[in-house]
Amino acid sequence: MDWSLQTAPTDDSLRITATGELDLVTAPLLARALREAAVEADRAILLDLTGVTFMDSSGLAAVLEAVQRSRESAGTLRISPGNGAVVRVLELAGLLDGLPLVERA
Amino acid sequence: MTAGGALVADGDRDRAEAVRAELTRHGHIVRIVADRETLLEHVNDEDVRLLILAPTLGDEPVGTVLEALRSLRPTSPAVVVVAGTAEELTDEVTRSVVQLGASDVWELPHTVSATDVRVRLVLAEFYARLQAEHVRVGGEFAILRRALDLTGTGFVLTDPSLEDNPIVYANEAFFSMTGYRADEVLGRNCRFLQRDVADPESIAAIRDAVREQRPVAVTVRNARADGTVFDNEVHIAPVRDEHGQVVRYVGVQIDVTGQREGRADRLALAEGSRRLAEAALRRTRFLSDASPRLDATLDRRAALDALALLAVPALGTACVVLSVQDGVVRRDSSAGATPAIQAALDALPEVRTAEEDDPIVLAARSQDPIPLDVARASAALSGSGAAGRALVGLQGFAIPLPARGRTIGVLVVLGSGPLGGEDAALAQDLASRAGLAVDNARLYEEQRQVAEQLQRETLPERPLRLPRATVATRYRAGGAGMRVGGDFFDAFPTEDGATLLAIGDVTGKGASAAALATIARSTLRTAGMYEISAAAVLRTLNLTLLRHRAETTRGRFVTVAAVRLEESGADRVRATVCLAGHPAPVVQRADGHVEPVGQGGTLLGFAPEPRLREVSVELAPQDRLVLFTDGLSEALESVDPQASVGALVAEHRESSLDDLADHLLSRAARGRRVDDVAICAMEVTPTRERALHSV
Repeated sequence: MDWSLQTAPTDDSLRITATGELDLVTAPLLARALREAAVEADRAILLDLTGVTFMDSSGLAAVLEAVQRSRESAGTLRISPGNGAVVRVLELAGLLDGLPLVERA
Repeated sequence: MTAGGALVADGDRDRAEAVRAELTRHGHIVRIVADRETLLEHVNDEDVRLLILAPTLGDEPVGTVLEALRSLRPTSPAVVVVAGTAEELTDEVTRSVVQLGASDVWELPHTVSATDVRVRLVLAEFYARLQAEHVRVGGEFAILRRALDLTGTGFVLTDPSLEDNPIVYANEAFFSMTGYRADEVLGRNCRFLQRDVADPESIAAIRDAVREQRPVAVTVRNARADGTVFDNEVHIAPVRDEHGQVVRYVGVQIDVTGQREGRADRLALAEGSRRLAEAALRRTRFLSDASPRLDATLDRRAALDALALLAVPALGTACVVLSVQDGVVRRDSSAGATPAIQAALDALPEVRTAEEDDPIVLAARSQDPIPLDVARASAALSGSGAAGRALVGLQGFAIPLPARGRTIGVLVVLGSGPLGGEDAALAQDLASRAGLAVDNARLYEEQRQVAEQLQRETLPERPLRLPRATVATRYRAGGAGMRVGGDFFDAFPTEDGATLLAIGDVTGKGASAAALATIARSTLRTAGMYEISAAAVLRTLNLTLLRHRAETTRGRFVTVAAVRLEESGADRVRATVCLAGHPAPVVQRADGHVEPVGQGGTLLGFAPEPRLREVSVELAPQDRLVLFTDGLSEALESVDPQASVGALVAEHRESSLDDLADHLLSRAARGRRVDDVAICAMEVTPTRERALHSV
């Protein structure tokens, strides 16, 4: 699946949807989108990764950085990891129960 | 030190020839130069590993020559020694050349000719000392030596790599205390001092400590050269190089005869000397740890952070690096020994107006450390404002960070008690090194070679060596034009003498990933000196990463597989695996059966309390353990990467360990994605074979 990244406002939140391979090339794009989204502090962010087919450590770092930033600024960030590549990476990183994960963003 | 080219720069022909004769004996190819121009012309020659400089060259003092050399060749691997007579080598000259990076200062006799036996002996001793001190630990031993010489404390250095751990250096105080001459002492094991007067218990305590590579303090009855008996309080401690190998033992000796009655006095003296020895050693270790890290950091900011991080808790409980510029005092970096102190430091204002009586402003103008009592410490931290409760009552020093004739910042080191005079001198030595490192970092910022230097720092300089096992390691940074990666591996002894083998991966790429990999590797190594279990070592790294919330590490995390290796029974090795967000290593039994070892744990640098669990497995001879980074498992592009690596290892049971490592690396390179790859494969050797090898 080709890489795509969409940011769309919903009623009370901002939904960021990434699909395709989240790797060295695409991770910085996601990281930037998450940083820009965080500027609008009063909005919750929903990160939809259900369509991500591959995630490497750069992708993981982009996600974790957003989680840290959200904690520091008392913002709300929820992540929908789907049940494929992203979950496997989170499991390997020992983070399945340490992140604000949701079934479906 | 590996022999190689050596340059002797000295206008005194006879002295230069004498030095040449000695160096040639050690396998160096020696060129003599008599003036500055020729020196600068040849210093860039390939393979120059050793520079011996006269205290003056023509009319030029060696200090300016050293500065010229440094600017010409800032990353030169050459060891620099200044050699001259006692008159030429004043305290001031010695101090300045050590600050400028000279590894040692050799004091030679006045009349020198190449055939003079006395000169040869002096040179031989100096050369042995230089070998002992090697490149990285060079200046630091000099500091330890000076610290102990200043107090008149007798001490010896012994070399455990030589047969029977003989004395390779003893200072003047030791000779006058024991009545022995140098030629009666050097090359002998310390036990000759015992004659027949020592008690077996103390001797056993020393022997055990040396065998287990840990410090010890005992009082033994020794005999002087004239036969008189004295009570010798001996403090022995291992000195490790930057690879964690014990390269020397330092033995500090204090004559406590007649002080058995005055128990309080004796205890005070023993305690004082222990403190001094331990402080000096701690600093030696700290500095030998600090130098590669400070040298390797990419930019000024990262160097400052590394400095603050390194200084705690080795030097004090709180450390702040500040600079004075454009009328303001800026807090560049800080580190605290506890979360409360760190939080209070973080809460301090980043910038304040530079008032005339601000201790930082005074220190920045001064050449010397400024002692900070409780009140001035508070002013140094927060100007006229208030510092957090965790910082109240601390005291210490403000030390200018000099580099190339300027002061580039002020290092504030604070602890709960007053620091002594020797602390100030040592802290100043550190500051001069740190200042230069920070300034160098600034100069190197735009140079690509720094990134490559950095990369080298993430990997051991020498091949890994493990007790009871052979090892094959492979490393490749992925992608053209991105030669700097964040994978690392290392092996080093733990506090209790076991071995910790670690492989890791910093998320992301580029120089800052490599910088963090360097810090991670160094922190693991340091933690290994104090901790025993793999999980405890990883927790220490986690705390360090969390505490080190600088821009360099934001959004960067570290995964590690750490394996504690210890002998278990006659021919077995117990491997205790702890995983922090890292793929599990693969065990392959001698019969070919393959299985992953370890329970998943949390990656480091994210959660304050990572889940870290240990799993032990017994390895018999010919069992293999393969550690790898995700550059390998991801390249296989399978749904179950862990199992795929296992299958790949299983395919190559008949291959040698080196061939297996090569296969894995080439398989990783065939993947669609080219990430960094690190592979570390070990195989347990049969006991008998090892016994034969070690003869």
